[in-house]
Amino acid sequence: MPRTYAEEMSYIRQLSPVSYEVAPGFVPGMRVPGTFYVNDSLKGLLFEELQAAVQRGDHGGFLPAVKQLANVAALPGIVKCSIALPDVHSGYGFAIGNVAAFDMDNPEAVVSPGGVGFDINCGVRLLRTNLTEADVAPHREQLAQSLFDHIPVGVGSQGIIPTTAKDMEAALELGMDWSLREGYAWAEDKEHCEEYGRMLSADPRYVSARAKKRGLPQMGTLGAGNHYAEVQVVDEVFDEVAARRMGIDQVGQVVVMIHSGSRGLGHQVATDALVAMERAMARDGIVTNDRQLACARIQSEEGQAYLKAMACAANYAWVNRSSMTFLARQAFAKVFSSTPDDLDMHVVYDVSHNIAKVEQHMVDGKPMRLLVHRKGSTRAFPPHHPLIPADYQLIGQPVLIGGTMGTSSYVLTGTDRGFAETFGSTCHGAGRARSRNNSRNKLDYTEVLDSLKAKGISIRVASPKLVMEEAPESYKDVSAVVDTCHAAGISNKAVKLRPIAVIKG
Amino acid sequence: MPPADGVIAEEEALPQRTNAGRRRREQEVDKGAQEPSGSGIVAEHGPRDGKVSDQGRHIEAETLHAEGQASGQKDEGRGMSGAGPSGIAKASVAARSGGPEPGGGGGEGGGGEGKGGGGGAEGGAGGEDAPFVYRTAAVGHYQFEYLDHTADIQLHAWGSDLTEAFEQCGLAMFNYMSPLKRVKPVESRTYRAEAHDLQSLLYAFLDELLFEFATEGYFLARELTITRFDREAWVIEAEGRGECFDPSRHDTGTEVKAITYSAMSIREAEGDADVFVIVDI
Repeated sequence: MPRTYAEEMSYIRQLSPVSYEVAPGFVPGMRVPGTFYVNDSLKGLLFEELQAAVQRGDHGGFLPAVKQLANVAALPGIVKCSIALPDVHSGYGFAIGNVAAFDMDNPEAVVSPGGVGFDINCGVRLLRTNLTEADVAPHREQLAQSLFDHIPVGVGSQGIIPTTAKDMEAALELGMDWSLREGYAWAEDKEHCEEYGRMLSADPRYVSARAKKRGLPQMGTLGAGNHYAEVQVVDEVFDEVAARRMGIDQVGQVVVMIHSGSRGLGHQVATDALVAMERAMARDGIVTNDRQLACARIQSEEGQAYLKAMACAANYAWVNRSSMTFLARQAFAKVFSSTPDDLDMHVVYDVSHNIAKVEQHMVDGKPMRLLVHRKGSTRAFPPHHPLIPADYQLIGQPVLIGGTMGTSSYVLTGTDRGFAETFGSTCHGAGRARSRNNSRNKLDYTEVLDSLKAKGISIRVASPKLVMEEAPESYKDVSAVVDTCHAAGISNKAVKLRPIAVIKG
Repeated sequence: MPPADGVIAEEEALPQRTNAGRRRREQEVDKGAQEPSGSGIVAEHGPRDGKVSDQGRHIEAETLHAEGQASGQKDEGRGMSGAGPSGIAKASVAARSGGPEPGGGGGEGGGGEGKGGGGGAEGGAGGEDAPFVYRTAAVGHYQFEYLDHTADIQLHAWGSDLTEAFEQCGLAMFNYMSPLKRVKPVESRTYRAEAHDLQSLLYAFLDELLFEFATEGYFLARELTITRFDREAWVIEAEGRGECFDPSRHDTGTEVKAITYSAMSIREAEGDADVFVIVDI
């Protein structure tokens, strides 16, 4: 018997101005509660989605994010709670912006590719420069063009860094170590990257030939959809100390942000795993509330195979971002007749927001080894955590939040509270508010471009249609998302960035 | 399958629903080529008759005002002119389609702008009601349309039988990546997909088309013919005619990253079949 909206809402209670809890019973089989972080301006979207779902009955496979959050809370082995960040929106199985940790020492605990996402290790990298906006202004168009020419984007784009199948195998296994070996990365780049740009658990034998074949021509390409490379300037500094440590404390300082993932390879890895796990679920008697929540016992063959393949895909994405770093450095060097070194184009940090990691966390006072799934969520480790770079020990891990086309991006830092409450996780970006089709139909391509131009942003886009789909109006307000995380204490705002050039697929 | 006639004044519809369709029609008529390759929903011909079925309209009004009933809302708000599959393609242009979000989308859409959730699933649900009510956003002479989804796109394709629906679905995917009207049928490729049931077969078929595209020169098929559709061994063999993507001649659409099982729906009836599948972009 379907519930009314009021009945559904009776399971949801507010814990604080920016957090809510979903009690077990919201969906069948919940083992832990759900928690979501939204402020008043964002909560409307979430509750309206639920309301709409109640009205149309449980038709179709499209579940509102709060339901997905709850379905995840019903998975075997989940620890503490299923968490949703302010940018949460509906996805496949897991909502995007959903964090869930599973007990590695519980034989029933599962791993789910849906909790990582199709685009494994989709993430953001930030490079700094010692240029100012004034330095760049006269060359802005030229710079945008140079980046567009150097970085392959869009449908049909081919990587321009030569790679053979053997290179591919090495890249999958070695990650950024391969880039370093081949001369595309600087040694210090690795220091400022999650996992040092290489997951050691990677084993290319577990990546299908099909996935490798898809990945080969795409190495070093940006991709399409919401991926981009942006030239940005420091707009506002909230945390002087942190900004100085990261080398980006000058208002007007120019930086480069790259947002991309593992392209076709990551998608194929996820696809292959989902197929294999569907079969395994029947065999191992795993039952979930949603067909999309395909999963396997962590210690099973399928679970282990996925984790190893996922690590390869993650490595591939880091290689990609390193390749594009290399190309961006070249592009800048050309335009400014200098060298990347002289331009101080160091990697500030590189974060991943679609990944699963084995981490140690304290739960109810006990240390536990957990497999933390972060889908559309960024790791945000606190100061003094051993896994963050030495030079950031005092400030905490930098968190890079990419805004949407033409809007601000942010750099945050991790906090102790976040570590305690959300397994050291925070938001990843803005999250979609409006469907792509809807955007295409409602938004005028030239209007969007004109509004960008009016803001002084040069844009190079391979697919004009994408401009409308990717318009900021289609997304939630990234500032609201970041402010909510700040208010919740799970990450701190450090720097706000403003785009001046955008390269998109 | 007679169309349910009824002309609805556009003013009656809530702004964000009509504008989508009306704006697109205006764009078509202006032919400003603002979307160089078209959104894929722009059809190339058809009168602006503005005919909208009462049923479709009524349901949309309900859902928009958040009173929607469970039954029948699957035809929500498409503003169908309700002709048969082949007729649809031509009559579809003028009808309001694509933009308005069905069911759940309508519900919260009434409340606020830009809430894109819940769109595609409606289409995927059940098959009791007349499926043809959807088919008004058909692209050109093809038998497919694109339906709303928050972050990705849902392909909806139909035909007189499942084979045709599958073929059209493949074309829908290619068209999204690059408008097929610019693709010439100069080369042939063969495809083979294997699976273990009907849904996984559709999945494998589309995945094979995508895989070939991504790994063998970005081949776009403007015509697809399934030469073998084996429902016991679950095998599809097909031939595609088209050419490789050439940035100088073809418009860039949006890259499809993966096929998903999300809200996948395959329906078969006497003389009619359709499929819904969401692709990740």
